[in-house]
Amino acid sequence: MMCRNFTTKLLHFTLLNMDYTDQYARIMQKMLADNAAAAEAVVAGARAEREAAAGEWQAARNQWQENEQNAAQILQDYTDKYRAQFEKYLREAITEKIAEHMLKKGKSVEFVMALLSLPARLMQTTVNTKLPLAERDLILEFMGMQTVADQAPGHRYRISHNSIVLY
Amino acid sequence: MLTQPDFEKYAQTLQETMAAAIAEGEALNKLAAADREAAADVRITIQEKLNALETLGRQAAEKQVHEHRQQLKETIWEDVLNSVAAKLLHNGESADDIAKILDISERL
Repeated sequence: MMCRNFTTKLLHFTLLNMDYTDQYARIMQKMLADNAAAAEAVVAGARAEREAAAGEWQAARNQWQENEQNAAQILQDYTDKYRAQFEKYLREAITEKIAEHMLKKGKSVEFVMALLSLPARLMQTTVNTKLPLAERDLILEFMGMQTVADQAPGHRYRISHNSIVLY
Repeated sequence: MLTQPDFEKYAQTLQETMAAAIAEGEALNKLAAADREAAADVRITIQEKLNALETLGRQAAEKQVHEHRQQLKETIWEDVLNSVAAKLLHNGESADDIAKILDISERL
């Protein structure tokens, strides 16, 4: 629509001014054409923006619809994720417990570390403190989960060597 | 005698053309802004729903773990012990030594 409008105006201008000198006519026609092109670029840019925005909206709606249809599966995935996370920490805690036991039985730190594939950090803490560290990660894990659930839903947590970081 | 160009008409044409383009551009920009706002609202709704599902999922997992805690611990204990015993055996420890090493009375 814009293109036809510009062309019509340009044509009218040209026809109505046929008696201009060639020089005037050429300059004005060129300026009109440049102006029309600039105007069309303005509209084209805005149109592209609008199409992109409409695409974003549609994509968001599609995502919402997809999530609604798969809500049961998403819930199951979250359940599995947290259960797997708990089992992982329980497994690590049990492994640490066995490591403590093997150390008490006289096995070397290097041997136990290599056999159980324990991270050096956990092994070092186990050796240094001799506390019931096997339960430490479980406790921290629950603290992290509970804090996120109570105070920062939608956020995550990371357990570091001396703190629980919410992000 | 040369005819003078109609500068007024010329200027008016330029102005009208650009004004029409800007008006159309602004209208499109408003529509784009509305679409982006709507998309943001939908994304917020999606995230809220996901957060709610995550909370439900975590609670369900905690409930499952709580209800089957003992069984779960026993299963994992046996699994880890079997794995360690196999490694010790592979390292050349005798069955008797392995039994002594892994005789853990105090469990979690």
